[in-house]
Amino acid sequence: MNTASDTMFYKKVVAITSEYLGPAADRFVARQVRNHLGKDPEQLKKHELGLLIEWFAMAMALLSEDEQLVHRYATDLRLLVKR
Amino acid sequence: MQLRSKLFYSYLFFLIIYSGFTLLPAPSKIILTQYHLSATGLRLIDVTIIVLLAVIWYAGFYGYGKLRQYAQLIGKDRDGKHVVMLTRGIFLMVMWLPINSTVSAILNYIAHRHLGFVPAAAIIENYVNLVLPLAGVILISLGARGLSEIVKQRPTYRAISILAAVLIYTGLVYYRLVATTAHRSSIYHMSIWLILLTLVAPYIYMWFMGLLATYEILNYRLKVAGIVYRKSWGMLAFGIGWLVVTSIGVQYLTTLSARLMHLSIYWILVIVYSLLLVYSVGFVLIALGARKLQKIEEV
Repeated sequence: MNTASDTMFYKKVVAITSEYLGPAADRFVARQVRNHLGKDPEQLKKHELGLLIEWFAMAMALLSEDEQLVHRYATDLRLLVKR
Repeated sequence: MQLRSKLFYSYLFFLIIYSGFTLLPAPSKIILTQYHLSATGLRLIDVTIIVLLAVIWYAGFYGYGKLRQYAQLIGKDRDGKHVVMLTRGIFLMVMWLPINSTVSAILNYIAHRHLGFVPAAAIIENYVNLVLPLAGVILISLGARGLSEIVKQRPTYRAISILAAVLIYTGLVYYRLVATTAHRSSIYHMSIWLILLTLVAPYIYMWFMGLLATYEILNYRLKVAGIVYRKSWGMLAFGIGWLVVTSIGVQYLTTLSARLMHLSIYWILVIVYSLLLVYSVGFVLIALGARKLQKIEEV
């Protein structure tokens, strides 16, 4: 079952991703979580995001040739895990 | 566009019907005399036009196919609904090309055998030429409006003023050219009031909606969140804008082709088909843009 804090955390990941992928962010994050963790995206937990960050960054690198942008995205997600 | 898809079969269907109605009947003696052509010369021109149209239509079907693939991926989401609406509009803009040419070839074939059918053929051709792009542009403008609501952007006062001024001048020039066409009644086969109310006014309305939609789509591309997403939208927004603006040029020219009769047939063909080729570039841009956006949904 989804707890409110899980949902909130998922929304924070989507909010960060929105800065890069706009309206496609929700779909992007949900797809990464489903593909790599095989679970409902809204059940994403903080420690699980740590495992996923490399996948997120790799996927972003396929979409943008700007290495700094990809690095910044990974850093933003890492900061969210540490918070 | 995949082989053996419905889209590809539709493309082949229109191409075969159009080629059949263009190449199978014996060449019109009136045309041969008017343009000082031999039967073989006319056939060569016909084949060149068919090849050119095949390329232009293929670009249209290909662009639509790619955009539809992207729309299917995101169709249920907030932005997706508006992209689906845009895709439907683009579909009508794509279908306009083969339907218009094929209907025109069939009507000319019938009119050539039954001279009494000439007025009806001209009227049907004029309305077929109008209805599909009009419906297409309305759907595109609905999609564009939806997208601009996502980014909470309304056209600025300055943009509306410029648009109104452009439309007033374009519309007045268009009205003047239609109203003063030599032998107007034998070309349109309708009263001037009917031409104004049911052809000129809808065309001007369509151009207004098209230019407004172009502005809103380009504005969406500038204001939407997401650095990567925004860049990916660039090509698609530019392609749709290109399509709408060049379609205005094509419509201007085709509805006023009677005024170009003093030119040689070669010049008329060069002008019309160059413009159609330029128009089809819009479909290629749409295909490239849709592929970029689709990539976001697949990684």
